[in-house]
Amino acid sequence: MRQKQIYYMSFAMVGVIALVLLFIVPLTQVLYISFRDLSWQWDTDEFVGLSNYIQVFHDKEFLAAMLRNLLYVGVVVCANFVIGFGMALLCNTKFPGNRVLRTIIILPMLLIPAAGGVLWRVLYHQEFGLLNYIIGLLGFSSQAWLSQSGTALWAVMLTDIWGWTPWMFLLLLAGLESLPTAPIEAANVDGASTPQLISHIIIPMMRPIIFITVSLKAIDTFRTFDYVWVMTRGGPGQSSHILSTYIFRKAFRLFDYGYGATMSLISLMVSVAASMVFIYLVLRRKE
Amino acid sequence: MWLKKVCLSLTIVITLVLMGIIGVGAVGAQEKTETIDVVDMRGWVPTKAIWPIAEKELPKIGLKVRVNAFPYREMKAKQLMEAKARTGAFDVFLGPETFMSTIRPYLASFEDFLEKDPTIDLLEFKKKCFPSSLEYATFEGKLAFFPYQPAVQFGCYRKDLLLDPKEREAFREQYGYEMSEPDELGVLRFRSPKELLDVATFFTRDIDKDGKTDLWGYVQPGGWTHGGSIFEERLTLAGIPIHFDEEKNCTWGSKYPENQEKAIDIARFEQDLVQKYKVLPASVIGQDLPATFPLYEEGKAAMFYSWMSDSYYVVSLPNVVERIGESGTWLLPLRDPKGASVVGQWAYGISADSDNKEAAYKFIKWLMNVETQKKIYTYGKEHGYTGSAGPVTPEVGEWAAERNLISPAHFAGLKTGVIWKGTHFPGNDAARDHLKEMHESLLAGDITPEEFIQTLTEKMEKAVRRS
Repeated sequence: MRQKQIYYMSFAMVGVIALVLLFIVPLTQVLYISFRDLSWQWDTDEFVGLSNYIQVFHDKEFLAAMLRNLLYVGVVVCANFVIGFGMALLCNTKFPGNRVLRTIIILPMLLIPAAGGVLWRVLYHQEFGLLNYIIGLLGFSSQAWLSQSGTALWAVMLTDIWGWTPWMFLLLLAGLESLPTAPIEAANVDGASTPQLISHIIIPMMRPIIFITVSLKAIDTFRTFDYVWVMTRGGPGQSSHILSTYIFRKAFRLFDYGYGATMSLISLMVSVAASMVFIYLVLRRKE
Repeated sequence: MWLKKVCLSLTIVITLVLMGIIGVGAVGAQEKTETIDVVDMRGWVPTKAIWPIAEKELPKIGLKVRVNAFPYREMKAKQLMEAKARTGAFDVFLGPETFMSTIRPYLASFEDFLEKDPTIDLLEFKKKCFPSSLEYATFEGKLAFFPYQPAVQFGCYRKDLLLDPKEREAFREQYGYEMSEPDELGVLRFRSPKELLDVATFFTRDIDKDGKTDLWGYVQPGGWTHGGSIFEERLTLAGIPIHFDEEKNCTWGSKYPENQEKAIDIARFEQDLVQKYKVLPASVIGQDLPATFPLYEEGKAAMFYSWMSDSYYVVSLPNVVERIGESGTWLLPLRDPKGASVVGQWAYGISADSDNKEAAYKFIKWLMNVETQKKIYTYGKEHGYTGSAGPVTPEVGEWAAERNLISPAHFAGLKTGVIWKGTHFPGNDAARDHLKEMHESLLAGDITPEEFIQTLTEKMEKAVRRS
């Protein structure tokens, strides 16, 4: 028995070593740097205690980026779910061209986000973009979507929704296909309408899958970087900066590594707190 | 049988001996050629022509160059990393003025090499450089690096519009005065910002009357370095030195109220170009040169302005000429008789940790040679790109401008150009970053000119005072 335990643990050790090397060690280093004023721009490297942390909480630009990040997560994930679930419900029915439609739906997911960002930058262009061309045909005036502080972040969010809804669609479709058919058939026999079927039968049965899918998407969306950076770099001004782009700019454009490390850790703590809430809710559900 | 064995053995021995001789010879030959690692910016036009010429000519002086090309943003970080770690991975560093001042502690003194070289007259060399280049490259009285590519911002304009007699007549009728003409070098400079605005307004047109502007009078980048630089240029054209005095006060901040008023006027002018007069499209906000220049190339702009030295050749490409005709070059109008263009300066420096410092100096000395520089220009022209190098000296600049190998406006701006003051302060880069970012908000109309100037100058001073 003891030999078996050692045998199994030896396999687990591989994962533990990887975890230590790839996560614990870098995290410790980031933690160490966060207590220092380490900057290549100002050529400094000295211990400053909690100064960086205090500065972050007084940094209006960081707090604004945090709020934008939360807005980004809320809007994008909700849209991902609503659109993804709608498409999954559609594709869960039989009709000609179902498979072709499924393939078309997942196409955006196959494009790497940076390439998708470049594509949408062109689509949004006020002079040459397809979107403004269509808007012009409908009789409206063209807009500089990425150059106005009121629309830049929303334009990026739309791109993110386009890029990642297929992922949500795939998971929810898999969930729908795995549902037992008996309750649905019984409801049909009882004369339930489609909205009633969805709201009273399907969604309750899908709840665990929806919960996991939405939570995972939220955690992933919190870390978004590519779309924002490629499309606006956080501009115009700072109007579309979210946490990742703001931290990237501070740390890697301005070489202010100590401050960047501090912001990264705070961002990580927010992410971990959200994950812990998610895990607690999942475990409570199991009980 | 034994004869066969003897012949075979002899053949093997002779072959081995010959291989040994050739091998030793090859190693010997290699040892005579030193290889140095030089940093380059991937796809950068000003250095594009160097490498093919270097490949042919440097072996003659026992030198070989290994080009380490990086995208711009990685280039700075990579060099700083290697410099701080003292790896000596690169023998020759490359960077713009602010970066070279950051990396200066890790450079060997360029002037020391020049002084030791009996073939170089240091004073003569210094006399020949553009004054701004010399000022940039000099730290504590000594040349820290070789100022390779000085550049100014300039613009291109459509000759079929701005020089067309009918258009000029119509302009005169509408505005009551003659539009400025190019000078004897072919450089157009408007008399005042008002004239620039009038010309831009005149040429902003909805040609097919569909409510959409088809031709913009004036286009410039509205994002990051390229956007912010034009604002900085307007400051220097107003006679305001940028950006810091020796006490780290912003020269257009609260300590300089007269300059601050001028700066607010300039900020208002720029904002109005987009928001009030609508001669500059809002789509340029947040976009840099490569993203905005197509508006000119595609015939949607009468004038364009930016750091054009790299892309000047584009306006001469057959397909572009076919689409929009020939282009002239122009400079922004002066706002003060003492005004001047701001000069950007790229430079090469020898790494203090290089194991091949003498070889690195040999490479730079080769670049310093006037004939090398002329070859670089000529090669660029032959291969479809002009302006392939900023002229190191006025002598080369004049030679190149006469042959249209650089824009006459580029050369004109360099002759009197001024530097960014305070580039030697740590944090200067961060200060300018605030400018670039807030400039986007200014153009977007999110902030008033007064708020822009006040908030920005405070942030900039804070950035340089941090150290």
